[in-house]
Amino acid sequence: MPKELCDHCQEKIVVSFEEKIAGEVKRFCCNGCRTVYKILSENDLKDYYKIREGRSESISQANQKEARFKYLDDEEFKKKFLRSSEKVLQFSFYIEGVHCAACLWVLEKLPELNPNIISARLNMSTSTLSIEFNESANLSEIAVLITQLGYYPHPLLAEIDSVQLKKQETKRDVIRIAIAFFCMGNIMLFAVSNYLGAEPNLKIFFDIFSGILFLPILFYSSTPFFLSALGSIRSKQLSIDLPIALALIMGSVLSYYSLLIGQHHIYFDTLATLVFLILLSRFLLKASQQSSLTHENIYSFASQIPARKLEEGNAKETYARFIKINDYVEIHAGETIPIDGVITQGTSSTNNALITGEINPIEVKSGDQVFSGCINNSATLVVKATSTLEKSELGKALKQIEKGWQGKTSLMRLSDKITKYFVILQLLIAVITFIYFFYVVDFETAYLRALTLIIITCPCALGFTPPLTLTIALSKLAKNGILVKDERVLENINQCQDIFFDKTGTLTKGNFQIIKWESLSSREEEERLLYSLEENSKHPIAKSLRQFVIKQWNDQNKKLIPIQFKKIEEIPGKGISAINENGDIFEIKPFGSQSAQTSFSLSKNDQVLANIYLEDEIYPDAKAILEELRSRFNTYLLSGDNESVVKKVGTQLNFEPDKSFFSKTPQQKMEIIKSHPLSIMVGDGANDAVAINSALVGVAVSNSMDLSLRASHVYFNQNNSLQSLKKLIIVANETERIIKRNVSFSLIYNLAGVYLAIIGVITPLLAAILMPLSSFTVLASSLFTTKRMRNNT
Amino acid sequence: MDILFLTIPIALVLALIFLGVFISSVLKGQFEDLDTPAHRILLEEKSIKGKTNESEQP
Repeated sequence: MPKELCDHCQEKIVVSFEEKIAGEVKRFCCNGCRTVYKILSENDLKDYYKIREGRSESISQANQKEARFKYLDDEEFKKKFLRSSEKVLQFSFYIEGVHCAACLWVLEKLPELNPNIISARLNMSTSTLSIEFNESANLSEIAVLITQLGYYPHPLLAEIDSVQLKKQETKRDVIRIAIAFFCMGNIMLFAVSNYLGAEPNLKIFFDIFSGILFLPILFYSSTPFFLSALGSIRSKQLSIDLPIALALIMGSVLSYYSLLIGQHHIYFDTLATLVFLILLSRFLLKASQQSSLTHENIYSFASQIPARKLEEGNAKETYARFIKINDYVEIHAGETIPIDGVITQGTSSTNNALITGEINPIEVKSGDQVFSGCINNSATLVVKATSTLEKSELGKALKQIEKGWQGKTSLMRLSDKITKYFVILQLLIAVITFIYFFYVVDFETAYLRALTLIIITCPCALGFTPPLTLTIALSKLAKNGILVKDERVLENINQCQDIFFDKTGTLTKGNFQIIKWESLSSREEEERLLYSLEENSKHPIAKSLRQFVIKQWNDQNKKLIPIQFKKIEEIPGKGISAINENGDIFEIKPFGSQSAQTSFSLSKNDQVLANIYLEDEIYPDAKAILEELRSRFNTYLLSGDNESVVKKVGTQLNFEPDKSFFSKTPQQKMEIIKSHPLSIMVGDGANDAVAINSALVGVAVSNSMDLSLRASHVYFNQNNSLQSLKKLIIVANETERIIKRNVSFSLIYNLAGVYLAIIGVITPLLAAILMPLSSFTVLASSLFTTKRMRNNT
Repeated sequence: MDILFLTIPIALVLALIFLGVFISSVLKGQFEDLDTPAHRILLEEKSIKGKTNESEQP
């Protein structure tokens, strides 16, 4: 019988890879594991396997993730998200953990691991895996299989139609541009020959060919302009496409009429260039925006709230958005309540901080109403859904945030407004020019000058500079591990005057060292108790303590079995309390000590068992970066810790005494933030969530708790949060500068164009080349950003 | 220069053929993923089943 677990990674073996190493047959789950094992054993590095035994946490984490895919087999889910044709079903996953050709190799071998899978194709640039499978395969099995290979699949829950539509749209755009380019190129050849003085009969021949080649551009490539212009006339809203469509119609009427009566006003080359260049610049804009869609995807993962649905007594893993009214949902202690509903079983307490701002837990019992987004603190509850996620408070809030993604910043709105007025002005000037020259000179001059004017003043650059610049800034930030959930942050940050820092994890590493352990009973029992109480807490102190205890026990080769409690409750900023089977109450409580250390006591039934003192390490570059920030911002220290700890860190980092706040409850933190409306709040813990949410710009640093992550506008993925904050501020600053630079450039450009067109210095052809050139200048200016931004990202 | 009346249409027809080829490759989705095929070509087509011991030795 083969062993079930891989000798390298301890995962379950799906397909066994065997190899005789040092006389023993070893089994592996994949080629990679086999190679690693071989390298380690050949180089006498097999101690690796002994050393990592202590790391029990990471292995259990992987198992926790496994059951989350059951909902993929739901009929309703299949109907909505699976594409099917003749017994073949198609589905796509976003795969977390794809990095090299080996990943490609193993993921595309899926059909050999599960015979029901027909094909698997991985797109490495987007990390999407599209699979085709027949009806007898379960999607959840496939997802589990991918997990076993060491990747984490996120089902791509976009509606199939919209994905298809987007793809087809891109294809159509490319074809449109290709045809425009083909025709333009040939028309240009003829035009150049004509300009250089082709023979009269050849010239007519060339003009006729140009006229024919222009037809596909007019009737196929330019359709987007005409459609959008028509739409804008119908909705009585001016758009940039209106003057373009007008120029096209004016130009082609003139050119075809001249061709018929044998005159020389033929501008097919002008119009073809215009269409091609505008189409191209719009396509590039779209492409640069779509490549940064990835952080939007990440956001949509974050907004998926897991839920456990009860069906005929069995719990089924799913997501909140699939819960319908009157479904029963089970919520364990420490989990987020996924939907609004009424409790039918169990008593517990809930933490409503994110929804209501109320910090203290609220006792709830059978028959009480609970709300999605609240945290279930102490015991398992069964809740009957009274509304769907979409209609719940949290759902509305999430929708608001999602809307924010498509919403416009005020800079964008401003440029939209300018563009609109600009179009009115442009058309008005064109009409005035036409009338003036019609009376003063003749119809021909009037027509030509108006045409030139319209072409050269197209405010394309004006229209697309803000979205483009913002998109580039966002993707630069994302590459630096700064995820911006709301674009408006980039604008709001420039108005901010105050920065509030939470101490732990922001200015300090959140990596606590235990300095003193005053043991008042059995040390071993204390350690075990401490570990059990802190086991599920995400607070940095809890993490450090767990690591400390595990290391102690491993060093002594003892196995740590956590104590089971009947009820366990964590109150942000106040500690943890638990009750065991015998009704004994255990508590971890911070206490204000005179020394400059974080300290807390461990007690059983109000009798202190141990006092523990910890100290945190300050980031080495914190001081320098803070000094830099102080030239523009007022910096404040806002902590829940006691006075002496905060004062110590405050003095080390030069915070003025009246700008260091200590012993603040989450509620007080929020009130302080609210009294400084133009502020940035940087924090990590659950006790910062409300404050983060009420700040103009709320930042959650890496390793943040779920709660503050949801509440924040920006999330730092990288450990050094001060460095990230500095980058964020610089990028925001520079983004605004680039937008202003581009908008003023295109305004000046257009005004100069108006003047030159009216006095008749430039011809329509020159205008057609100059106009898109301005778009490209702006595009380039946005892409190259500024020196300061390049140096800092 | 009368030959131009013949060669230019021929050149156009040739160019049209290339345009057609390009359009058909766009429609078939050949430009959708420009990264992966470069890696895929380097990988073995061999099945991983039945290939366990010492299969990598030259």
